[in-house]
Amino acid sequence: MEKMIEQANPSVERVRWNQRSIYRVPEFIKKMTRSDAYRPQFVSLGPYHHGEPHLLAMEEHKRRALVHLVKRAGKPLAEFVAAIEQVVDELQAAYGDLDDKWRGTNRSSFVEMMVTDGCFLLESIRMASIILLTDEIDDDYAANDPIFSKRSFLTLWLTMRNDMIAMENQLPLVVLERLFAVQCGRPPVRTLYLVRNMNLCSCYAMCHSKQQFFVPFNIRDSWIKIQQNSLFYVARALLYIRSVFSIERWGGQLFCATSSGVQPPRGRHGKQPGPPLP
Amino acid sequence: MENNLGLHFLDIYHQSYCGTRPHWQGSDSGRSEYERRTPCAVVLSEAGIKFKKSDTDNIHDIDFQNGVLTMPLFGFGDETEMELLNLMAFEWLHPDAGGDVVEYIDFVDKIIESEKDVALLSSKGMFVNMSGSDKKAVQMFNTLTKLTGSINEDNRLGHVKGKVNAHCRKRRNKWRANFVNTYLSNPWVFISLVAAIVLLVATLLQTIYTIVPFYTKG
Repeated sequence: MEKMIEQANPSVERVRWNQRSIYRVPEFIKKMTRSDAYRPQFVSLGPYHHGEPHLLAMEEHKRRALVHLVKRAGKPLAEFVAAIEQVVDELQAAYGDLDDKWRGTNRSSFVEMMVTDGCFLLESIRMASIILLTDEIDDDYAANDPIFSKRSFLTLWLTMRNDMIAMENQLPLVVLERLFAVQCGRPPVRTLYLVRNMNLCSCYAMCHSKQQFFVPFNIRDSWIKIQQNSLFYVARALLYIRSVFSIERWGGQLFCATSSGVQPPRGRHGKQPGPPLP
Repeated sequence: MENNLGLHFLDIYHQSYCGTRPHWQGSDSGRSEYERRTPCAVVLSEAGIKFKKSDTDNIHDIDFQNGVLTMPLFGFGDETEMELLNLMAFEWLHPDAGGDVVEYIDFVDKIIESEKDVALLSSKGMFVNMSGSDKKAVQMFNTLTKLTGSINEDNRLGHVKGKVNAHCRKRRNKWRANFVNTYLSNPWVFISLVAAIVLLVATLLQTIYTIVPFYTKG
């Protein structure tokens, strides 16, 4: 105790709290509200609910996603692992109340989990952008794949999306940045995640079906900035994902495909209708 | 600076849900204007307050001016509760996240007390229920407000609440609203009101014309 008093230092504490961004929801909050709202129902991301029986079914598919991603990238798995190992301290500090089973000698299992979950998320986002935003068929997965085929993915996406915003099921974005950098063979950059609005196809839609880069679109604030054809994809995603209401909610900034090409929406709320798409 | 780039998906979702926060310097006339609560939508409408959907989707886009309360559209679906609980839990656990969602939900909760309020807001196009029953929406707000705790009222929404309550306290507004609700609610009531007035005036005139010759003859 004496030692703790000596060592107490606000600036050290500030750094510690600053690194922390993912939390276990305290038991009393769960009791007051709904205990299952903060935990994953389908796929676990990160350490808090890793290995729980009802989430085990997805473990195999997470590993499969990793295999596909690594194979496509044509880089050794060790490179992905090394990229995460570089930031492992930062990652562990991001989790409040991290179990001891991930620390010390078991750090490698923590790294392994981060690589697997990160690759799974990257694959999911890639699939979301291909399936929800374009009509392309991805031949990297079998047409009857239980997770990554078009039909399965469309069925599962809303569940996955809900799991992706559960408080106890978060993965620091740093993981995705590092893995994505290795995949593309570029140094990692702090990307400005302009893609907002999870209600959309994804909070973070990276459109890298052909070109491997993040397409920054932010339909909420300004859609003029949006690249013209990616807007059409966004519109398509909206139609897939939610009911007509969602489209209304975003001010009806939607394009509808007709026989004569793609038509801009009628301007609502005094907003300018957009330029016609090619 | 790092925070602006997003920590994880929930953080990105939170940033997008909150949108940009308008600049607010505080009201000119002191603390007394901030209030904790407002009456529910039905009571507000009886006091003559009109409801309007705001042009944007921004949860900060709540205002009260000239008897019109503007609020963004509230969409209620099956996953709304789960989304909001996570957003609010994040604000609770991560101090840097601010308290925008908590403040917004606290405001909407005061407006929505019962299913009647939900129905009223739906009829104004400010509430869309995709999950079926209005009761579920009311229950959701009861659950959510357990996470609001004691929020600071010294902000823009507290000021809006103050303005709304000041409007409700004026008796004149209540009378006018009562008149509008009773007599202008549909054309038939209004026509019968006009007919009654016309008949009353006609009867009055007839009485006068009957009385006047009685005296002038003499």
